[in-house]
Amino acid sequence: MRVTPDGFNGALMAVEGISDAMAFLHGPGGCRVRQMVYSTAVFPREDPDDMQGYFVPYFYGYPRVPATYLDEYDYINGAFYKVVEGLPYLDSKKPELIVIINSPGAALIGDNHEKAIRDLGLESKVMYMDESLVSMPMTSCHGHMLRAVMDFLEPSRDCPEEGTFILLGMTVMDKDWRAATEELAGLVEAMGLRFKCAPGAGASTVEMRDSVNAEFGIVISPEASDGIADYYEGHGVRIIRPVSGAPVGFDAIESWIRNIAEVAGRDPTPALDMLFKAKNRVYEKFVGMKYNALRIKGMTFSIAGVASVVRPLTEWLYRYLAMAPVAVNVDPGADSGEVEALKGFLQSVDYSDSYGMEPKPGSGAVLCEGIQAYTMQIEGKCRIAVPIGHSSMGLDDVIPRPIYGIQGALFILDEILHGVRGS
Amino acid sequence: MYQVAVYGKGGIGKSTMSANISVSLAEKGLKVMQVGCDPKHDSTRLLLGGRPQTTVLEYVRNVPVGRRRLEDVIETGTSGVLCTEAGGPEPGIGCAGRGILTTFDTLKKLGADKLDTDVRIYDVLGDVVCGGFAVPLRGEYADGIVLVTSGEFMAMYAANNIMKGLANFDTGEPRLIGIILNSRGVEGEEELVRRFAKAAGTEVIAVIPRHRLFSEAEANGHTVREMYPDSEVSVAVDSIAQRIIDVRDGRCRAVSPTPLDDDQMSDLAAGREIRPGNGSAIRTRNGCTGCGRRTSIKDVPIMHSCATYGAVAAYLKIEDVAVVLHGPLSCVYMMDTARAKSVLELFSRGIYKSRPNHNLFCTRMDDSVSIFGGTRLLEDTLRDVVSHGYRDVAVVTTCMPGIIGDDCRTVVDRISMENPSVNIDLVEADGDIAGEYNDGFMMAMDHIVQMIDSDVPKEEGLVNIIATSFFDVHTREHAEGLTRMLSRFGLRENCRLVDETTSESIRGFCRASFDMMLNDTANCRELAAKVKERTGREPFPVPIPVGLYDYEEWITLMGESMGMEDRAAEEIRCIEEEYAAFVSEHAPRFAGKRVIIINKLTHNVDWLIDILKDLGADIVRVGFSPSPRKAGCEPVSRHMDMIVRDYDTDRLNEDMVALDPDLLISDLVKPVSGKCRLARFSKIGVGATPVLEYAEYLENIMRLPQDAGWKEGRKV
Repeated sequence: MRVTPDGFNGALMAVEGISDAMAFLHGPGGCRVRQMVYSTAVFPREDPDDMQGYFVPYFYGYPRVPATYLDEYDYINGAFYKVVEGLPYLDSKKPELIVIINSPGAALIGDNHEKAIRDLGLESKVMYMDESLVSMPMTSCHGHMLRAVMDFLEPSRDCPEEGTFILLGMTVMDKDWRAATEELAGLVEAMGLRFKCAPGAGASTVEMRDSVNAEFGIVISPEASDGIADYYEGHGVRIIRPVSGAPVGFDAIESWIRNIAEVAGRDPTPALDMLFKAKNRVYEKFVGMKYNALRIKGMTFSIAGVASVVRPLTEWLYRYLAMAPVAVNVDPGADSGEVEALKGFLQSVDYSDSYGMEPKPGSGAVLCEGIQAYTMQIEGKCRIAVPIGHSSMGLDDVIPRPIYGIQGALFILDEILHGVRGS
Repeated sequence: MYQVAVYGKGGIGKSTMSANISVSLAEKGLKVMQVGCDPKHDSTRLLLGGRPQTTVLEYVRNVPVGRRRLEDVIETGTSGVLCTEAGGPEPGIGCAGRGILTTFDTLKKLGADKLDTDVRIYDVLGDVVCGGFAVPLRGEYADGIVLVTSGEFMAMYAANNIMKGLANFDTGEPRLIGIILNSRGVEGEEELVRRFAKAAGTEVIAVIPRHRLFSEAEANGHTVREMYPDSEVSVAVDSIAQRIIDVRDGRCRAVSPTPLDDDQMSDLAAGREIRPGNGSAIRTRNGCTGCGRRTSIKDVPIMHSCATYGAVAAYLKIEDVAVVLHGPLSCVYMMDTARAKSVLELFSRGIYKSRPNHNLFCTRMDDSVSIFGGTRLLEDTLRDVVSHGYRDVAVVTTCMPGIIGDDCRTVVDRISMENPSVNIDLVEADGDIAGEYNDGFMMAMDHIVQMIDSDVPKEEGLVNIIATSFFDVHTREHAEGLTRMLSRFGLRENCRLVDETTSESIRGFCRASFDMMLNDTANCRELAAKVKERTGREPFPVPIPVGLYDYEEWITLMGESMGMEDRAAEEIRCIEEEYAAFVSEHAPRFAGKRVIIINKLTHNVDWLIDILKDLGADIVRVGFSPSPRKAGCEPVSRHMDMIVRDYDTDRLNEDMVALDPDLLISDLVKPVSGKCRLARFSKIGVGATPVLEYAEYLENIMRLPQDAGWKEGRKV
């Protein structure tokens, strides 16, 4: 079974992706541990030498995702008292926004967060998510949570800024999201637009309130911007959705750039120059090591993940490296347009049977969530493993290895090339 | 819009009353919506000509998100009253309270909030048995509450409970409109209910007589108010509707009730004068009234982990056992990613020899499953797993099935009966309801030790290693160290209970001559006791040693047990020589250094105390502070006089100032400040030599910069 995060993880990380917000988990300590470690790993904020202030109830030494530590007593009697007691502890850390999120079990007991917030007079900075999002798609719940946050922040588009943009659909769960955000924002800025922020991926609450003043909302992943893109559209922000999937692989990056340029009426040349320079560098490398490059052609690959990533990557690996897609699958919550385009592509190249298949033993390369990819590699079920899922693995990298953008394309090529060495 | 929740004991006539009030309000020109919040879903029947309507939960179950429309769950009934029904799970499964939460959430998402209505009536299940049923009491839903009761004691008892629930959802505004007496013909009923109302600080706003018109109207699928608008009953109903309007418009006030305590209820039941209350009936969540109710997270030790994870972790160490996690995907994601990453690393480093597998399956419980019960999903997943050919399967439950009360045992028994060759264990860890990681681990081990076949004949030269954690030997170097120690006496490992093993290996546990604990922790001792109970075998008296002195004891005992005393003596001579040479070379850098040791995770740090003393260090404090939840967490030491128990961060901070140490050695805790060097310790390996390597590490720590340069990169 390919293990992927779900809507509960996605909603929590959407909040943790806001630089001055804090998710307050109404749930057991067991639910907290992984979330707090994960949040700290993907988006560290606190100084490691300044942890002493967190040796207090609800934090217990760890700054991220404080929790109510529900136990059996609380499931029977309710744990309203913990929410009331805990919120002031959180508030003392001066977050600009606190979002109470129920754990799977807490969602069943119906504690009255609204009353707790009101009793404490924290209505202006504390909100809660009453819905249970467990086992739902991670991506769409990420967008859903962000939308709920925006509804709470109630920004008004009172001073629209022409020539500015925000990036939508990036999450802190994406591999090396910071590097990817910087690069993609840089590509767009090269076309003369000014970057404001990426809601849910490092933006502060002030930036999120201001984000509705952007002229453009540029979508990276349609799945992870589900709900939130519509929100911005409703506030007058012009949404630019990718036409060839997320900017993954050289072809989709080029399409992403050209589409933005066309909609925004900008010259794509400066951004394309950066891309073409990278493509040229790869060309020269391949020429210099032609035997390895030759080994790639004809190799099979399996791929599984977010549809808007799987689609362009499948097309790119097929066309750019002449690799054969033998198993192609998408995560729950897939964008229907991406799925249709993916199926259409596979049919057009006579690989329609590959759709809907989980990564297949015997594939030359497996591109999917890291644990499964590496497990298959170690088991000898594939030669090459490329982690393209959320950051379940590889958190220890210093050199950025995102999936999106030019760096992402180079990372994927590197992994494939390293895998065919000596084969 | 004004919202009214109608509460009362089951069968008291809330639905009938609600429907009549709705019609009356509508006839007064108001736009009315009635929301049935009772799983028996008959609240709106009389508004729809006796016809039941599709419930929201039924709809949620059958129609995927994205295809749902508000008009599918809202119908227009008598006098234009909008009708909707929550519905509920099948009796005995799921969680009806959660169903109410989901109904409200679904209606909100579908836009019910935006419907043009003046009054909404929530007809709610009688007893506020859980948070779900209390939802309509919340401030955002109920502006006013109407209670329905008869003169029967249980009906008044339920009404009293609802008033207590109302106190828990106090909005600061009085909300109880009053009590409707729906007469049952009990002697002195009206007087009794009026006494009750008065004692509770409210009043009876209408007395509804027992009347044949109710049964006549209901037989036709209508309300009395619709069929017999001029009847005595309708007049009473109209007075209730008017009262609601008056409260809404401020012409009449609602009250904050003072529910009766147990003594007062006894007085009421006995017909005595009701004594004055002391307020103890209201146990608001803001303050304890001395009832034993918790008011702070500090009231009990918290749990940083859950029993489910412990049970899953234990089973996943057996490579051919499939684990079915009965819960949501988020649990699998949180439990499996860190574990799988560590397994992959152990395999990559050559510690694990068998290839990593992925035998963890999930029933993927989501919100709708928690409403309708999850046993069907469990059954489907279990069948699927069995069909893959697994002969040993463990079902581990998370908090969701624990809370909603899924009957997992019946499912497991049924599938076991159908597949007699498959062994299926059920571990009802229920998230953290059964405790924390260790508790779940031991629950799993209760099952796992049952795999041991006590009749397997012994074979010479084999030893079992027992532990709950094998971190001590999770490097190639340390693993080889253990192998060398055992091989000196011609022994090799038979089974690790439990780490990187197979069900076959566990079944053949009794082939070994010795069972040795890898370390002397409370968990390890508990596990060894389980093995003894199953097999009748005593573990070897000394655990696998760490440090020179424990090593010497172990070697001596092993020599005696194996009849190899000479070999043991020779090994001791060699290691003493090596140890002495090391101490002689390194002591200058330790002599007189003031050291604090803090130990939260392990039970025996004698190896560390010994080497530091031998190197001439001045150990100024040894602090010990294990988990407060684990029984038997006592330190094991030859230096008990040095150990300070319950050593916390505050104490450490004081000692940092008072004792001015040169070196702090800690496994977990870190002080606020201090200029001394900080060294970490965890599991360092087994035998005598890893201690020497660790001492070299300490020596380096004392010579290296206090802070690594990467911290210069911190943001200003």
